[in-house]
Order: sequence, then C-alpha cells, then structure tokens
Amino acid sequence: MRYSYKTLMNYVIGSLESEEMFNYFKILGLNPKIIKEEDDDIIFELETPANRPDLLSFIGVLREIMPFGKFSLKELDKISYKEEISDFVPVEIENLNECFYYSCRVIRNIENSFSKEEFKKIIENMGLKSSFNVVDISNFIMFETGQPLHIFDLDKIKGKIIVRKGRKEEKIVTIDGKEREVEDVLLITDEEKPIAIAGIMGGANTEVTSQTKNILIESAYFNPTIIRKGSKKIGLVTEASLRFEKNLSISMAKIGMERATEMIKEFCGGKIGKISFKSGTLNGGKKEIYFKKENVEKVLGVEIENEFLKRIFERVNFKIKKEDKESFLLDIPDYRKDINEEIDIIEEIAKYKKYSSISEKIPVVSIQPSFVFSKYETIKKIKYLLVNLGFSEVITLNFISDKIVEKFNINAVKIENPLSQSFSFLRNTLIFNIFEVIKYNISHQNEKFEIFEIGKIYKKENNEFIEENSLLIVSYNFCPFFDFKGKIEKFFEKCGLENIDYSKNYNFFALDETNYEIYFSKEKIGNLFLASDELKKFYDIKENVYICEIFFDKFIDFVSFEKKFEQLPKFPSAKRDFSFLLDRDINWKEVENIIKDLGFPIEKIEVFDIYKGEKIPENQISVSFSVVFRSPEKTLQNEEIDYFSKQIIETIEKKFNGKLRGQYV
Amino acid sequence: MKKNLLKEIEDILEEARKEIDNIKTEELLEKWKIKYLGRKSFLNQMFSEISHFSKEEKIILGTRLNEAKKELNEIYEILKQRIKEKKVKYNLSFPGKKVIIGNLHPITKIIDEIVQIFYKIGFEVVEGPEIETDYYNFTALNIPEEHPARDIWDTFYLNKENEILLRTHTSPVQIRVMEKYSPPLRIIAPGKCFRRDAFDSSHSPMFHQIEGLMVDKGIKFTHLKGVLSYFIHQFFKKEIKVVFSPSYFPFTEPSAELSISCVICNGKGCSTCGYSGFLEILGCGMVHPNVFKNVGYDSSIYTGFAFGMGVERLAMLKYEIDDIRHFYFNDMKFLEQF
Repeated sequence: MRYSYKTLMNYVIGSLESEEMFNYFKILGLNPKIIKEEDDDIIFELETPANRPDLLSFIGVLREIMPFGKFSLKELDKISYKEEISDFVPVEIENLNECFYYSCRVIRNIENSFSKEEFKKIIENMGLKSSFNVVDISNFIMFETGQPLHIFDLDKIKGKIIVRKGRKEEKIVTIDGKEREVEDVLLITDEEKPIAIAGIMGGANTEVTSQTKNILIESAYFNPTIIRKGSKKIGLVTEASLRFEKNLSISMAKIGMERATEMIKEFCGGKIGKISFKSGTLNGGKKEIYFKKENVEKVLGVEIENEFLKRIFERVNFKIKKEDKESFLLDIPDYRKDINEEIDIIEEIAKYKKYSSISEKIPVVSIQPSFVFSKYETIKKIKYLLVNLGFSEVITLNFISDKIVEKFNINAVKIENPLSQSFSFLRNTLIFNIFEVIKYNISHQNEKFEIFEIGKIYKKENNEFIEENSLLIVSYNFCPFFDFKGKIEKFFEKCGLENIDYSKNYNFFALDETNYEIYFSKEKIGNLFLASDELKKFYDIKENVYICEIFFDKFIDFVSFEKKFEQLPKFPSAKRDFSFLLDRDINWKEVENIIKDLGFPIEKIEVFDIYKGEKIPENQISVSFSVVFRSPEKTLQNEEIDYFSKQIIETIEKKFNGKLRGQYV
Repeated sequence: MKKNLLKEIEDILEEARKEIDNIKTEELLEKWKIKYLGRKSFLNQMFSEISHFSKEEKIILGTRLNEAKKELNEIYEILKQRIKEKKVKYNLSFPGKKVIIGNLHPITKIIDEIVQIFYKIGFEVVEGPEIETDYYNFTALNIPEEHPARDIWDTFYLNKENEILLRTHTSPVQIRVMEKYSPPLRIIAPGKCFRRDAFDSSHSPMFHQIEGLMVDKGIKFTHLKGVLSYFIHQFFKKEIKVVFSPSYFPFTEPSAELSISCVICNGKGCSTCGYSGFLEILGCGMVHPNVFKNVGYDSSIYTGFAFGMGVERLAMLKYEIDDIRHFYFNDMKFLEQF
C-alpha cells in the first residue's frame, strides 16, 4: 500500500522526521520504497507481512514505529457528532461463522458532490481516482484505519439487510459493470436481491451516484477464509478483499463506522441515524497471553531488562494485567490478530530490541554420530566421473509441452493449473528436454558436444504419483559411436559395475533396431541407442544422436566405489589377432563370453576393427580382435598359445558359423 | 723428413679445425669431409706414402695419422648432429589443439560450495521428494488452508483436489526429517522447487533452494545469526556487511531476512541492488512452536532455527549472471565458463 508522509503527520503528536521514520521502517524490515517526492510530501510503499492487515493503514504503520519514536498518536475514536434521527435498517446474519460482525447506519439528506482539491489529492496520492465525496471518504477511511467500508444508496435497498451465501445460479452485477455468478459466495442482500459481494465489491444496483441523497454505511468483520475463498472463486481481488482475508477485527469495524460517520457529517452534512448491528458471541477482542521472561532469553539469547519490556508493552498497547518477577499477563488489543501466543510476544520484543543489536554466536554442541543416509555424495562422484569422461552437465526444466505429449502420444502427468502450454506436463523421460538442449546449441553454433543430465521423471500409477531419477548421457556429432560406447563402458567400470550385458530390444525412441537394453546382474538398468528419425525430425536435428539412458535409482544401488588392489602381472603376456567373418547382427558380448568360457588364461579381448564393404558378403561383417593371454603363474609357451588360438578359432567357427579371414601373431 | 711430415699433419689439422666455424649446412660439411677425409685428401694420401718409410717412422707417422683421422671423424659426426638439430623449427608460439572437457553445471557447483561450508560445521545433507502433499508443503509448516500467506507460494497442483502439488520450497524436508529423527539435528536440504512464475530474465517456474535446519537444546536467535554470518562470509569470500531484519514466515518466529551489502557495487547502489546498496539473500528464523508440535517435538525442551536460500540468486550474484534462463538453456559456451 501507498503512504504519504504528509498525511501521516496529521496523526502525529510530537515530532517525527521523515528520515527518522524511514529508518524505523527499515529496522522493522518493512523495506520502504519511495514512489515520488514532492515539495512538502513523500509518497512511499511498504512491504507488510501477510499476517498484519492492520499495517495497511496510516494509523497502523504509525503505531508500529511508535515504540522507537518520541511521538504519540491522535485518538481516532473521539466523536463529535450526535445521532439525529432514529432511522435504521435491520440486520440479519444467516451464519455467524461467515460474518462475525455486521453494522450499518443510515444518513439522510446528504450533499454528495465531488471532493475538494486538497482531499482529492490525498486520494490520488494513494493511487486511486477521486470520485464523489462519499466514495472518497469510504476509501480514505480504509487507508486511515485499515477497515474497508461500503456505502449503499439507501433508497435502492428494499427492507432489511441479510448476510448470506449466494444461492444456486444467483448472479450480481458489480460496480465494475461485470456480471458475476455468486453461488456459495458470501453476499449482502436486501429482501429481494443481492446488493454486494461481502468484503469484495458492491453491486451496481445500489451504487452511490450524484443523485444519491440517503445512504447506508456498512462496516463489518467477515470470516477471512470465507472472503479469500470467495475472492478466488469469482477471480476478483480488491483492496477490501485483501484486507478482510488477512483477518481484521470488530474494534476496527467499530472505528471505521465512527470515522465514516464523522467525516460524512463534516463533508456532506445530513442527518445521522442509529447504528444497527448483529454480532456473534465472539469475544469482543479480549485476548490475554501469559508471558515468561526467561523464554525471551531462551529464544533470543539476550537478557532483556524489565524496564525495556514494560516500555515496549506500553508503546505497543499490550496492557499488563498482572506481573511478578518472572512473568507478565498481557492484554492484547483486538487489532493485533497476529499476537496469539508467547512466541508472538517474543518476536515483538526482538523487533524493538532491534535484530542488529542481538549478538552473533556460534552454537556449542556435542558431536553426534551421523544418522542420515544421503545419496548426495555418491551422485556427486557419479557426476564427476562423467565430467572426467568429457561430458558436461545440463539442468533442464522438469516440464514438457502439450505439443510433445500429443505428437509422441506420451502418458505424462498433467499439471492442473499450468502456467503455459509449453510447461503443461511433467516429463516422463529426460529425452525431450535434452533434445531441446541439442536444438538450442545447434542454433547457437555449438556443433558438437557430449552432455548428461540427472533429474527427476514422473508418472502416475494406480492413482499414485511416482517420481524417479533418470540419467541420460548423450553424444552429438562428437565421435564415432564406439568411442562413445567406450566411455560408457569406462563409466560403468569406474562405478564398480563390471560385466554389463546388452540385449537387443525395441525402444520407441531408437532408430530402427539400434536399441540395446543394458543389464547388470540380471537387472535392466538402461538403454543404449541411436535417436529415432522421428525425434530428430521433430527437433530439426540432422546428425546421429547417441544416447545412453540409465534408470538411475536402480543403477545407484549397484554403484560401489570400493576398490581392492589387484597384483600387477609378474609374467609377460602374449597377444594374438584374429579376423573373422561373422553374422551382421551378432551380439558380440556372446562371442566374448564363449571365448572366456573356454577357461584359458585370457586377460582381455579387444575389438579393433569392424569392417563391412567390398569383398564382405551381404549380411556379414568382418570383425578383427585381439586376445591377450597371460598366466599369473608362468610365462606361457608358444605351443600353449597356439593351442588356445586353435580352440578359439574352432569354437567361433562352430558356434557362430564364423569364417576365419586371418590370424596374426 | 719425418719432422716435416709431422708438422704438415699438424698444419692440416689446424686448417680443418679453423674451417669448422663456417660450416652451417650439410653441403658445406660434406665438402669439408671430402677435403680432409676423402680419398684424395692429404691424410689419406699420406697413408699410401708412408709405406716407403722405415719401420720406426711408419709407426710414428701411422699413429699420428690415425689419431688425426679419428679426430676429424669425430668433428664430422658432431657437426652433422648439430646441423640436423638446427634444421627442425622449434616454434612454440602456435596455439595448442583445443581440448573439450566436461563441466559441472554452475548450479551443481554452487550447491556443493554451500554444502561444503555447512559440512565444516557439522551439517548433513538430506533430500526430499519434489511431488509433495499439501500437508508437508503447507499445513505442517503452520500455513493452514486459505492462509493469506499462501499467496507467497503460487503453486502447481497435480490433482483437482489441490492436495498433491509440486513443492514450492524445500521446507517440507524439515518436516520429513523431524518426523523421522529425534533431535539434535543439523541438516541442509538442496533441491528443485516449483512456482507458477513466468519464464523470464528474473523468474523461472523451476528453481533450486537449499533449506537448513538446526534443532537442539539451547539453540537461540544469536546462533542463527552466528551460523548464517559465518556462511555468508565463507561463501562470498570478501568483506561483506550482513544485516538481519524482521520478516514473516508462518513456520518461523521470530523470522528474519538476511541482507548483505551489494556484492556488485559494494553498497554504493547499482541496478542489481535496486540502488539500495543491499541485497536480500535468504529468509530464516527460529522454528515456530507449532511446527515442532506438528512433528511431535517438545518445544519447551528444544529450540531451533531454519533457513532457506535461492541457489540461482546466489549463483547469479557470485558469477554476475544477468539472466536466470542461462541456467536452463544450457548453451555450451555458457557451461564451459564454470
């Protein structure tokens, strides 16, 4: 809300320099922001907390800084008018849980003209457009006291006032000219029709005009939750609703009525009628809190003098009902709805003690053995491994667009209230977000790169939402596929996953038949594939994209960075190279396993060339690989190695129908 | 005769040595070799001539000739090597081949920097789910339904009843940890959060937060100030003024906002700090007794403080990044800077 220094000064007895005032606001964390400075005035805004509607008023902010200053405030509830006529409109409240207090007053024969220049300026400084006197007064009282009011044209009201919820299909045209459906929204009605949406906006049918002679002033205290729900339901937030939903008070409603009457009498004349009101059994603002001095030290860590406490209590209007050496019983004013328990009092004391004067200390604690199990450090190591292998980490937004969901027919979790169509679903794979990154980079002239992301993916199963971690390692236009796969293999090895198996299987996102499922100890932990043409086309990507997708939560359970030293070889190794014609679709892992199963002292098997082309029959490939033999016990003799080689050749010929093209020593 | 010949050998050697300095190319070297070691060279001719001399003279002259030949041959080899080395052009001024290495995302780096600082004072990392219930995200944190403070957290909901949502802050982790473990506690919880904010230069519907919580007997507001001041000075590693001022969060009381003197302009006032000289960095406070009540902690025995900070904001200040979207576009030219 906006405040004017000059207007505030109307309520101050004593002195309060603007500099001093802004300093107090800063100390209280209200972050004043100057809107404009004039010769004799400063217009500024404050950030007030959501539980302090009382600060959305001139009187409220002055009260808030009073404990710092040397000034006092003019009393607002001094009245100089008298009731002149006995006219009143009866009030009925259907449910006192919805409206805690409703009061109204008739004033007859007013002069409703446009506001005078000086008053007009005050209204405009608050950021409003000036109107008729009565309207301006009603707004002004809201800024002055914090209490929103409404003023009806009395002659348009039929019979009594009834406060009730809107019925089925009930509608009202509000003063902004819009027709609104108000079923189940709290209304102010007369005997025939709704005349206002309670606490939010008045109806056009009873609006005050230049012709208005007789008025009805409303000042009420509505249930804040009801107002908030209603405001959300009809999608209308007003200065009034913002205050009511934060919980006002009966005392504020009463002051609002008095001030409105006083000002209307002064500005517009007229004959003042009786106040009629209904209110629940609600305690009229009596709130007592027991406060123990030792608890201030316990929470804040500073000793507070009794004198300081008493001064603050007096300045914030917390009346001391009882006191002894250790404690106080305090009576809290009705407008302080934020003060309900001892901790609220302690916060008040901290505020006025000033946070800056509370010292800084490092706690002294006993060392506790660690109890928390977190994967944070493991994930960090995994990330560092990938970085060391040359992959850069990316982080993308966890959303996907409705366009993707439609195009790829994805079963993704929908956001009920999305911000935009591009962020309307939760992703169920990282693939789309990663492709977005690839596309973005290509369009920004980054032509080759290797990246990874670890992030959540989501699904809904049996009415339950499930979130899982996924890891996607991707290589774009960077290296031959087997260089990429080599890195993936090194990654698994370094994570402690040896003997990874691959099994060919369909994958929706894979280029025809390229997908291999990745298995570790019989568990499927991911997929290795080239991106499908459909995906590439959708993102306008031309080169192949190599993808390794890892089901991270499964994978991480297998990860182990425990290492054991293996003896370095004592005897020399011997190497033999082989070249075979094999079936094009052979699963190499099987060949490797069968060679290993022969039980020879084989250290490693490495493929160094895969060739397909001239002189190689259709459906076949030439695979060249080397086998390194090494025994931990002795130097292998040539005859032994020749025997091993012969067995290997025979096995491959027999089991895989391979044809030896060459063998090299 | 003998003496003259010996003298001649010395002269030839002297002459050969003198020429060394002028030999800069292989060509010249070869010419030199032919002149002094070639078939028609003086030395080789001498060898054929000494057969006419007496046995004694043969031994003396032969030894000297052999020595001379050996010396010249050595000179030849050395020169040859020297010329060869000079032929290779050692110019190291050209740039090395561009190396592409992997990088951690700057958000990951900042999170870890923060985690490392809190490790030093005994905090541990915990994590919680991104899909939360209304209870953990709001109610348990003393933010009941229809509480106006809920406006601060514009929420993405996943069901019609608005019960399941994307967490709007990392604070639900506090509740989950306290439900599971008894005090004392010292934890930090990094993670992604979601709010219905537009995607522009200063907002993102997804962002990262780090939550912190310390609960024990005798934890006070003075400790909150001490620990967070320590953190700020460790993190920014320069002279910085730390200011705590009152704030409002339903789950802490007293609540505070921590501001620091602007790291860009050192408090002089610039566009980053809105010409105030100060930057709001994080929200914090003493855990509200109602929150303790919700998790079954006895607030007459235990007290604690909690804090939450936006990782993107800290990263933007530390690296002087002007647009939050850089973090999520993942331009390689951006990523490789960190």
